[in-house]
Amino acid sequence: MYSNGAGPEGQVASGRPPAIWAEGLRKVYGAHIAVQRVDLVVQPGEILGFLGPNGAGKTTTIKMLTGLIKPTAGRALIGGHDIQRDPVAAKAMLGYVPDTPNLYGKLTGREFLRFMGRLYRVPTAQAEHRAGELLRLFDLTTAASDLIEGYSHGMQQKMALAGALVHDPKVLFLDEPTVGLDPKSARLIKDLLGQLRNLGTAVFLSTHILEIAERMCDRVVIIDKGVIIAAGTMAELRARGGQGSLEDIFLNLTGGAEYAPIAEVLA
Amino acid sequence: MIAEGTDRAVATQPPAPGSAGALLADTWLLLTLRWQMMLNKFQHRSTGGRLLTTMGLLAIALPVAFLSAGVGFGGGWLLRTFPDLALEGILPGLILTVVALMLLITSFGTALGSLFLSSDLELLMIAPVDRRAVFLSKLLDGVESNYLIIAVVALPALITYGLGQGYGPLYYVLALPTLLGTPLLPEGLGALGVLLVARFAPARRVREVLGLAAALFGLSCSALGQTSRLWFTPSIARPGTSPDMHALQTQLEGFAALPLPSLVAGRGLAAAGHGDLAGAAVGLAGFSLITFGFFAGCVLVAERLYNNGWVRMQSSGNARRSQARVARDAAHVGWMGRASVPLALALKDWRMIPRDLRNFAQLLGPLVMLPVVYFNLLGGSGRRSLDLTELAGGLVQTALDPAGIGIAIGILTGTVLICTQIAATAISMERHSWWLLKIAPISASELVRGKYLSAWVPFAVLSTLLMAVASLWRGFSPLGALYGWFGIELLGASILAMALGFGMRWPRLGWDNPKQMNSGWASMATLGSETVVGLIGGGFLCLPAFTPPQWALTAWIIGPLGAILLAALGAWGALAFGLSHLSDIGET
Repeated sequence: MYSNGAGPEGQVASGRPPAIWAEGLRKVYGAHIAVQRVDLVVQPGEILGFLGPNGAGKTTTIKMLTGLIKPTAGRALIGGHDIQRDPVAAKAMLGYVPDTPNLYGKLTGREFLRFMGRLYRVPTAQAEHRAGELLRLFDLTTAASDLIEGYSHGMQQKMALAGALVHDPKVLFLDEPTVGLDPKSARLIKDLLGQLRNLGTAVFLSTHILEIAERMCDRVVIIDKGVIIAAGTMAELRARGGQGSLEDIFLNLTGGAEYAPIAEVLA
Repeated sequence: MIAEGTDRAVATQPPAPGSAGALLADTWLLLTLRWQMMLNKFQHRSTGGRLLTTMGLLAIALPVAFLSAGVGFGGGWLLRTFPDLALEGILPGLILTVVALMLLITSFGTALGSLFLSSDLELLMIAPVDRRAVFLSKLLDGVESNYLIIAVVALPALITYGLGQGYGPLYYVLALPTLLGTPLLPEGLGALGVLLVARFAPARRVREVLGLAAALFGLSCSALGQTSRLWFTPSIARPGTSPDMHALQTQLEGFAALPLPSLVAGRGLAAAGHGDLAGAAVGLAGFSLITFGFFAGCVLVAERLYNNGWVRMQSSGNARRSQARVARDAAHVGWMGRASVPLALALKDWRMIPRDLRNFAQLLGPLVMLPVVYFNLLGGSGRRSLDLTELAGGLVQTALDPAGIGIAIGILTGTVLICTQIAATAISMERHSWWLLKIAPISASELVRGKYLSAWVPFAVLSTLLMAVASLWRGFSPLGALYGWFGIELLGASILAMALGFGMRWPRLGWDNPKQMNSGWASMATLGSETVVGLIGGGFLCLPAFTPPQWALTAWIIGPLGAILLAALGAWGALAFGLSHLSDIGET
C-alpha cells in the first residue's frame, strides 16, 4: 500500500523522504497477535486518519511507529530515520499525544514545558517563547505555575499537546486527542491540525470521532483485527465501502452493523 | 441476558439493605473477591517469582520464629531460675503486647493503603454495596499479613512458654482465639488514625500527608524502641552489671497494671494454664470485651468519617497561583530551562521527590537515623583539636585512625542508605510517565547519566560535608581524612551505580504505593552486590591500617587499587546489565 508515490525504503520521486513509512509491522504478545501486518506511508503536510474498532491494534501500531514498543517484525521510518536503528534522530522529529496523558503530576505546567524543551534540545530562548505561546493558545497561562496533578483531564490533555509541540515536530501522532476536551478546546485542536498541515507537519490521527476524521483527514486508514482493511481518500473509501457517511462505511467494513438488536440485549 | 423465571426465580431472597445480614454478605463478597485477586496474582507469577516469594518469606519467617521460640523458652527459664519473681501471669501478656505493638506500627500504613489508596475504591463506592462493608473489607485488607506476623512472632513464644511452664491443654486451646482477636484492636486504631488525618489534611495532598504521617508514626515507634534503654532505670539497662530482678519486677508489674487487652488476655491464659477456669474466663472475657467492643465501635463510627475522608480525596481543591507568581515563574527560566539533558533529568527528579510526600517518606527513615548515627559516632572519645600546627603535622602522617575508619563506614552506610533509594527507584519513579522519556530523543547514556546524577549529587554533597565536619571535629590527619573521603566516594559511587543498574533491569512502573517501587529481584541484587563491594572494597581500603610496617607500601598500593578495580567492575557490570534491558521497559 505504497500510495502517494512512495516505494520501498520510503523513497519518493522528489527525494524527500515520507514523514512516516512503515512496512510489515507486526506485534505479537505470546499467542495473541495484536497487529498482523501494517504497511503505510504518510507524506509531509498530510493528515492521516487511523480508525478501527476497540482492540483493533490502533494504539499498538502507534506505539510501534513512535518507538514506544518494539515490533515483532517489520520496520518504521520517521522522516527517513529508522525508529529502532536510529531512534534519537527519528524521535527528534516526532511528537506524540497519548489517549491518557500521564504527565509528571508533581511538575508545574511551565516546568513541564521547560523540561520537554531540554529533552528535545530546543534552545532556551526559543523554548521559552514557544512555551509562552502554547500556554496562551491552550488557555493554560494562569495555571502555568500550578502542579499538573491539579489540572482537569482536559487541561492535562492540552498540556500533553503543548509538550508535544514545544520542539515543533515534523510528525505528530495523536491518539484520541479530543477525549475529555470541551467543545471550545476540541475546536481548537481541529483548527490546530489545519494549521499544522499548512506548515508541512504530518499528522497521524487516531480517533473514534468519525466526523473529525471525515472533515479533517486527507486519507483514512481502517484497521481491524490487526490488519489494514481499507485505506484511501474519502472518495476511494466510498467507492469501496458504499455510499454514505464515514460512519456507514466504517460499520460496513468492520461489521458493526451486525450487532444483535439492542432491545434484545437489554430485554 | 437474564431470562425471566430461571435465575431470578431460583435466587434466594437477598438480605434487606442496611441490615446486619447485608453488611456481612457484602463484606464476605468483597473479601472473597480480594482473595481471588491475590490467588490470581500469585498464580500468574513466573515459577522463579513464586520461588523467590516463598524463599524470601521463609528466609524472614524461620529465623524470627526460632527467635520467638527462644524468647518463650527464655521467659520460662527466667521464672524457673528466679522463683521469687511473680511474673508468670505477666509474660504471656507481654508477648501479646509486643506483637500488638508490631501490628499497630504496620496497621497505619496498611489502613492508609487499603482505605484510601486502593484503585478500586471508586468502583466500590458507587456500587450498591453497604459502604460499611467496603470499609470493613478494606480494614481487613492486612489481616492475612497480620496473622502471618502473629504466627511467626507470638505463636512460637507462647507455645514454648507453655511447654516450659508445663501448662495444661486449656492454655493452648484458649491461646488460639486470643491470637485470632489480637489484630483487631491495632487495625481499628490504625484505621481511626488514618481517618482522623484524612479529616484534617488538605484535600489535594491528603494521600501524601497520610503517607508521610504513616512513615513518621512508624519511625516514632522505631525510635522509641531504639531509645528504650534511656527510660529504664540504669540498674537494668547498664551493660556489665547484674540485673536487679526486683526492680525489673516492679517495672513489669507497673506495666502489667495498664488496662491493655493483651495484658488482660495474658493473665487469662496463664490462669488457663493452671486450669483456673474462673481466672481464664475473666481474662479472656475482658480481652474480648475491649477488643471486639472497640473494633465494633470503630466500624460503627467509621462510616461517616470514611465517607468524609473519601469525599475530600475526590475533590481537587486546586488553588490557583497569583498572577504575580505566574509572571515571576515565566520570567525566571532557572536551571531547568538551560540544563543539559542529564542535568535536566536530575533537576526534574529533585523537584518531584520532595513534592511527593509519599515518595519522600521512603527517604525519611535513613534521613532521620543518619544524624543519630552520626552524632553517636562523633560522640566517642577522640581528639577535638583544631590546632593548625597539629593539623599541618598530620599532613605527613600516614597511619590510619581505626576510629576514623569507623566514622567513614558510618558516613558511607548512612548516606548510601538514603541515596540508594533514589538510585534504585530512579526508573520506577517515572511510573506511568515513563513514555515521556522513552519517546524523547535522548540516548540511553544520557538517561543513565541523568538518573545517576539525581542520586549521586546528594550523596557526594552529604558525604563530603559529613566527612569534613567529622575530620575537623575529631582532628583526623588531613591525609587520613582525605583517604577516608576517597573511600566513601569510591564505594558509594559504585554502590549507587549498582542500585541504578539493577533498578533499571527490574523496574516496577505500575506501583500505587511508593513502597512497591522496588522489585524483589532488584532489591536482592542491590543488597547482595553492595554488601560484597562494601565489605571487600572496604577491606581493600583498610589494608594499610592493619598491615605490618614492612608491608605498608605494598598495602598502600594494593589496597586502593583493589578497591578501585572492584568498585569499577561492580558499577560497570550492573549498569551494563541494566542498560541491556533498558529498551524493554514499558513494552507491555
